[in-house]
Amino acid sequence: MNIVRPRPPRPAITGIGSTAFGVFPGEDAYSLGSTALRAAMRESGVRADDIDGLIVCRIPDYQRFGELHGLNPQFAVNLPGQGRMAAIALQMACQAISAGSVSTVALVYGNDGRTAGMKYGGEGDGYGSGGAGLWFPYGMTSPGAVHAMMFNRYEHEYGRAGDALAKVAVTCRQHAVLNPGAVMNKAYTTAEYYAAKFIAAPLRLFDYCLINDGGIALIVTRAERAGDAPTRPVYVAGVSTATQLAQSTFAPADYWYSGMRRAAAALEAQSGVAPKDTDAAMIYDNFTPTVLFSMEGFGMCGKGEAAEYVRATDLGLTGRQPLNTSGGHLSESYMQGWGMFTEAVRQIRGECGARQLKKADNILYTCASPIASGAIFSREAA
Amino acid sequence: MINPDALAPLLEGDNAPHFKAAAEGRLSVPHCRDCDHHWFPAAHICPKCLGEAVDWVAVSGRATLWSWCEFHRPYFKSLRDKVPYVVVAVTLEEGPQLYGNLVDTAPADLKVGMALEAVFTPAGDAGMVNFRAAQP
Ligand SMILES: [Zn+2]
Repeated sequence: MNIVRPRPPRPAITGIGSTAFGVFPGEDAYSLGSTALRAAMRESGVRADDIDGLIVCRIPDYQRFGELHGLNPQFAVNLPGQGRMAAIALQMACQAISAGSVSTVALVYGNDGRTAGMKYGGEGDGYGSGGAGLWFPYGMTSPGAVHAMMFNRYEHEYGRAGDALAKVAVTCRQHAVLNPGAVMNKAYTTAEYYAAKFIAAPLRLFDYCLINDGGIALIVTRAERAGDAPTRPVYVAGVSTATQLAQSTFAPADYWYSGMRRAAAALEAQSGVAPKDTDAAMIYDNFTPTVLFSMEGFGMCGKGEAAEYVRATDLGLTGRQPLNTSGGHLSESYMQGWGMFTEAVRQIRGECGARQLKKADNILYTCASPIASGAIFSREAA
Repeated sequence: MINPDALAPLLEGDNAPHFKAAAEGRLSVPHCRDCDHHWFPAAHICPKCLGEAVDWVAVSGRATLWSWCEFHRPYFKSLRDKVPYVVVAVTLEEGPQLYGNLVDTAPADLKVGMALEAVFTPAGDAGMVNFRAAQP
């Protein structure tokens, strides 16, 4: 006999805040996070005393951040500045709320990487399991190079797919043109995509995301409290993670497929919605190949079929499941997943102006990495 | 600390035995005496059985090509004159994976799954483990 457990009430996002994205000398992760948090608190009507959970990401010290804002939450934690942490932050908040231990959690992301000269290749490269310095003498550095290798192998296994990368990149830029908050607002053609220089071949310039400064915050609260906020609540219908940490110094031969399948199954079980049936997909696009891998991992198409799926599918705003409506990391800004959360919330609220979707009831977030993760944001409380 | 202006393998730290062995023309990786597992980078316990009977052993140097990419951006000053260069990701016959540079082989001849063999390139007091197409 199948026992169907009732789903717990969906936690609600009642406030979001974000800074502009760009180069902001004089700001740091604390100040960027602070600007975003105060905006999210104003939106949601939440005061410092209401916050009983604090999760900061890429902000060095939760204690200092809490002190700066006079917070005494029940729990506080900081997560490292990795994009895979965005969904973990959301998951921690939702689980703490669903467990009944807290009511309102502030999630704050602050990134001063552009101004701090953060590079994802070369000396500062900390990518990979335990950091990448071991391989520097071979000139091996940067997550982009790892993704270039994965894509090279992927093409060997499943056939040419470079045109699918081009379509993903060009589509995201078209969306960014409609987003006043995007760092990049000039469209480019497929020919211009191919004309751009190689960084780590087979990947070119426009296959890479954009490193910028910025801050983002979310206020997540229990469903019963959602009505207190002046904003229209957006509910977290599901959020899941699954890791592939064994032997993760090297990219997995399945391009994180097995982790994503586990995360996708959990997401569907929680939300009652299949990832492929959501109204838009915010797919973590640090590099274009990850978008193809994610489409397979989250079931938009079968394994090895992503290039054909991309060729045959309208990924634009009029399509069945538009891709990265803000422009994503490739063209809005690399806010490590957090900007995708705010975009999902704004789409569901109907605040997206020229890029507003006609139907935005359920919006998917996915991230392919050693911690595969997904979330579904929903208009509906149940 | 690695000097980005003069890149060379570290002769200190957990992986030093690997680079010291390479200077002597051997490809050495950690090995578990309990379960015969080989791995890299170094770890003080066996990631497969969690046993502590770990030693460094020489392996064959035979490998297959997992994938590769060609660097066009010089991320390090010392590589400014070397771009474009190829880094290969290989799977050793004994299981572990390594990155290395491609030597004595044209990038156009690379094919995922092809047979490679390790070659050792001196780098100061250390050695680097690079790869070329397996010689018949
Ligand atoms: Zn063992």
